[in-house]
Amino acid sequence: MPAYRLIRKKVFGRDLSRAVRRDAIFDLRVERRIQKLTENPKHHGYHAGGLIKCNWVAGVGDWAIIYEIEEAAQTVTLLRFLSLDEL
Amino acid sequence: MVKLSELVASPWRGLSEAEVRRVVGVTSNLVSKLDFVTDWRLQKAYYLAEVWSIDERLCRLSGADFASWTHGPWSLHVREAAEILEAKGILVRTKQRAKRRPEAEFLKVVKADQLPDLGEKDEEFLESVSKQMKYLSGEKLTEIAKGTQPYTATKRGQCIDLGAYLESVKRKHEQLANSPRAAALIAEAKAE
Repeated sequence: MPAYRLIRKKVFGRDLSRAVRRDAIFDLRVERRIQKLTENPKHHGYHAGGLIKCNWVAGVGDWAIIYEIEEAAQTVTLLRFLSLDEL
Repeated sequence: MVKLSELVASPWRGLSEAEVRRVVGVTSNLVSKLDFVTDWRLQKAYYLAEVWSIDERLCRLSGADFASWTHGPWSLHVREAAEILEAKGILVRTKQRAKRRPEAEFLKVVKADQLPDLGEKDEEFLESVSKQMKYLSGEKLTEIAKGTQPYTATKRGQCIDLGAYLESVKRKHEQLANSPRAAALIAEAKAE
């Protein structure tokens, strides 16, 4: 059961649709990861440091889901879906 | 008589007892979670679980090595783990009608109460990936396995270096943390 409410930023949706185009299996993998993040976002990702500190990261292959957690509101906001090869 | 120097070196390294126990644990866990597992499906599913564990958790699931064969990744360690489970009577082989053949040999866990404990985190991970894999045919699993970066980067007949792949994924995550471009893209999303 999801414990956190999920919010998807529009840019996240755009990033994702570009990344998973014509790859149903990868799409399923990403959705499986997102489902897990709504259940326990701190357990399934890690707290980033460096220039993107304070954000959370969950890897999926050569890609990363960048998200933030709002404990008070019990929400997970999906910010970006970034290629680790294009940074 | 064959000279020692003429013998081809085996690509398989010996595993420690603890590593073998771990591979046995993952094998039995996967077989119990996947329906209609042939040797072929087990090999591909195990390999994908290893690669996805690196991709998603930045850690290995076990120490099993895989070689790059023409028909996809294959592991002697996984094969031996299945044999250990069969010898203990935990796993049996049954012949049943199959989708694309008149008959195939399927692996089945018959003593589920004797499955080794892998720990909550790993069992949860295997549960989650098995749900995705159980509806995929052996052919589809092979196609996905053959498309993974560690497989494509390995010459046929050589061992797939999953340790090096793990290190490369970790490096990519470090680069992500220090990427001004990533920071700018995240700021753009927050401003939306």
